[in-house]
Amino acid sequence: MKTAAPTLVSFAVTRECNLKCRHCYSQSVDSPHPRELNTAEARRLISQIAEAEARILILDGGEPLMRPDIFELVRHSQSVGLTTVMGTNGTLITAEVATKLVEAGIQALAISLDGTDAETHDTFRGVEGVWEQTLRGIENVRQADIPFQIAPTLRHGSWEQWGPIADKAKEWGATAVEVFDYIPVGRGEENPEFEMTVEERRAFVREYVARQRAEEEMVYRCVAMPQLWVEVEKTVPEDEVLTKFVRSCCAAGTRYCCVLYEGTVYPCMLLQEKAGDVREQSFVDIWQNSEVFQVLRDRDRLEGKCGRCDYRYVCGGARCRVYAKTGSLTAEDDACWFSEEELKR
Amino acid sequence: MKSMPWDEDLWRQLKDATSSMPPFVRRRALKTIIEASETFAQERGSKLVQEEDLVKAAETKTPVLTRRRMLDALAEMGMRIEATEEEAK
Repeated sequence: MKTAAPTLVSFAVTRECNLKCRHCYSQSVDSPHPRELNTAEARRLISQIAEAEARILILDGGEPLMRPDIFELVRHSQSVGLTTVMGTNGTLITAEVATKLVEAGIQALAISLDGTDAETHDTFRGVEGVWEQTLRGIENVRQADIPFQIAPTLRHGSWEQWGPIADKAKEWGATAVEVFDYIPVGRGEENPEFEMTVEERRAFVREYVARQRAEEEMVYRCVAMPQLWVEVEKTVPEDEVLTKFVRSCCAAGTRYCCVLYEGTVYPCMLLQEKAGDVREQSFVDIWQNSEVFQVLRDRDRLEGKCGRCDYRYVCGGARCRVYAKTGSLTAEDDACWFSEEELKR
Repeated sequence: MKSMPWDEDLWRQLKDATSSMPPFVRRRALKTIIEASETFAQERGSKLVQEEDLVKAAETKTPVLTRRRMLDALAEMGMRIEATEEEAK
């Protein structure tokens, strides 16, 4: 059978960033990687992603707006038919930058926001004063009429802030809120204290489900917590599941992958097992033939509780967390809070 | 959304296959594909929608913009999708 095309590919265009986030999966710093893909290589990669029939390209980093040729890359991505979006911390989006993004053809932005107050956000993002800069960036995005979503990261002890952040996002006119669970990879490995407990995850999921059920316009999505879908199926009437909720199963290597600034391909930004290198192979070849991707695509290879779970095709466990903790692509996700009996469909 | 009985596993596969689509895309795709599947089942004289009805509906009646995504998603759930996208147009 033909390999399904990726729905989504993220390309971390640079390691360079103006922030020092405590959880940064790409270990971004204040300078580009010495082997960063140059403009020609980046354009070639984007063309190959389009040849793989991907639909959406996320340009992120580091901070993608630190890269001098970013507008050219956006234009190129548009020209080869990819829906082009950007993940940014928002701090560099002046009115002029917002206009240039529109002119280049950006179709949406995801802006990270981790607190409803400056102290919470700035502490996590590692630089004082960035909360204000991010809010200014959001305002410039709104003025330029660029669709945007807000992306908070859930953390131990302060996860409840996601609700008020979602309220602000709605007030600002965001199309979605995409919540990330904290996964200790990259620089995040140095800060495991931010990882939520299982009880916190369960409480978050209950709140998330209640909020989405009450919400008529905005969509919530959640990254790295695929058990959420089990809760949705078990507690939400079918009509609402079909019309309101978006499943966020682990798509690493199945419908999504990530390319780093120096050409390494990973199944996910949060699952950093090398699947290939675009300087050595074409992206299409890696997507279709990488052994790492083959393993992740076969849910019948999952082990333990995940292997016995009737939801393995729609959940599959957070492969990133499993890999970070065990080095295995197929071991069970021990953060799953459902009993074996509850995992029968 | 259903107006006649569906094979239980098949209905679940359809729900699973579409659940990662954005809701505004999914609503339209589901409405079309469910109606078409039920029409094909009735044309066969069946009182139950089965896999062949859904596959035929997906290959021929899904809105063009979501067709490839729908076919890929159904294939991922184990259905026998044989038509290429070009053939299905």
